[in-house]
Amino acid sequence: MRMNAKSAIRYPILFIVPALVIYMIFFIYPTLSGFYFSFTDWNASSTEVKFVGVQQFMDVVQNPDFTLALKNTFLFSITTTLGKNIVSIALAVFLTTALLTRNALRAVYFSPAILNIVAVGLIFQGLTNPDIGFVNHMFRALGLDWFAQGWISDPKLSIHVASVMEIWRATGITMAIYIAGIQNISRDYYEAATIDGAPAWSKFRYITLPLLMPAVTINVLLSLIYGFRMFEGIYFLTQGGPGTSSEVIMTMVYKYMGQGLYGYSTALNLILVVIILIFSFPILSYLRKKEVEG
Amino acid sequence: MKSQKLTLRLLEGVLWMFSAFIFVPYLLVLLTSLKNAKEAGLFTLSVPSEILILQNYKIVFEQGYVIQGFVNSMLIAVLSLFVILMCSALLSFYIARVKDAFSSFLYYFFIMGMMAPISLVTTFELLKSLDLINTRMGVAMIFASTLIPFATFIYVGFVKGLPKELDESSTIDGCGPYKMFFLVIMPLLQPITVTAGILVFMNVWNDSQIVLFFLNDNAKWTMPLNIYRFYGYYRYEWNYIFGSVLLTTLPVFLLYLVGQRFIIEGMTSGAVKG
Repeated sequence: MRMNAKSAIRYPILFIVPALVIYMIFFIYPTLSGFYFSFTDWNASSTEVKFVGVQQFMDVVQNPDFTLALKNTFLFSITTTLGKNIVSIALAVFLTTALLTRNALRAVYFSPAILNIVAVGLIFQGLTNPDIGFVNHMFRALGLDWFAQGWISDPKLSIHVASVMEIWRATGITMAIYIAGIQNISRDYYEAATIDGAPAWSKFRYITLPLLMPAVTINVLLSLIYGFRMFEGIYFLTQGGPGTSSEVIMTMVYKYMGQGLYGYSTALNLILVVIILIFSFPILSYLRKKEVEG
Repeated sequence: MKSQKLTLRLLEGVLWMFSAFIFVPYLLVLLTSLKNAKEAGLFTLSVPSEILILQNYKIVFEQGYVIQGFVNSMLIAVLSLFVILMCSALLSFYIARVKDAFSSFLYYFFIMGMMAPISLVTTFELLKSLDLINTRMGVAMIFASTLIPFATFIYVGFVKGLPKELDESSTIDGCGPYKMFFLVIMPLLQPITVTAGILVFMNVWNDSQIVLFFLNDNAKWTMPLNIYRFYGYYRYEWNYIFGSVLLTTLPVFLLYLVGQRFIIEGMTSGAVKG
């Protein structure tokens, strides 16, 4: 009965069962049923759930708060993606040179990433409080009163403060991925370039950057998705305020759930899923193509 | 060559100078937590006129739900960690070894979970119907469902690097698939389990949104949310607030000092090699 050993190795389907059960019940099921409920008027004040179809989405789109939240979501996601990636590429390049205190510097620049967002939010409230905050103290002490702005209490600036906070907190993670990417690049390229007398900038431009592209793609993808889904970084800094000025889609989802407008809340959730899919699919398929080629 | 060395030293100096962006907020938290309320509210880096380390931290410790938060954080983190690592290791072994359409579908099916946001309302309703709402167990299950994809992503790359001959020889030696996994493969997964474990632990420990969404009972809140609860009571006493910030980030900071190499390498292993 027994075949040769090679074909006798079995990988029973039971290996995937625990993960699949938890994932299906606690993630896939609520996600899919959320899609359904986003076409209904499900709410806390009536027991009956009526199907309202795309009318729900018409209502959402006409809500001025939604327009603002959508704009903020994009602003936050794009600003943090640019900020995190530009700063961290520079840091990664510098922190892979022969510095004496290289490891200490890496540890320092990475460290904000290990703090929880509630703590970071409170630190930034202390930094950016318009009257007593540290940042405005600094500007006034330097005689740069013009720079002392309202920050988190200014409806025009609050979302940007949240972006800066996220860049401050998470650049270290992006940096670590770039450092690993740079370390994977063969030293031979740089030696050859040195023999040819290439200046540092050319080495960066023609060796580091092109060979770092896979890491750039993954970092951009991760930062964009993370930015689109952001809730904590807004909620624990400004709570979406002042007014609704720094509201993003996820904070609106939470707000409308609290108001008992369940169908409406799931509709906002679905819109966010669609946005994330539209932006990540091109990047993901590019990554897969690279994988096949590489 | 000499000028190159000089450039490097100069670069080093500049990088330490810019680290002020990191250190100044830390220092502000530390100094403020030692001051009296009046001085603390000024948010300056001045040396405190009186150092109230005992008085301030006594209040934080007694009223900041530090012990309660720590116990809750530990319970939730350990429970989630166990479930996530067990499920992901098994799943990724299957995905890495079985080469068919279903297996690669599975991989992308789980990776999708890293992209989509949680559906708040329906997840809440689900937990309610399972009697898991307001329970640490329910929250741990949500953490599991959102972090199994992440842990699997990290594991799969590593398992692919383990030679398949291992499976063959252990099968020849008479191991069934389960014995093979637990006795032969699991021990070899140890380095990546440490990495994945630290990352999952940090993710769960630092999270504040899943707990906020699905645990209304604040006696079950974790450390980050207890800072927020404490802040609600002492809105203007920043010496206490920053004391609470410092005290609750301390466990993670200590973990970071010990496991720094694993943490940084771990965060990158999945992304770069995966």
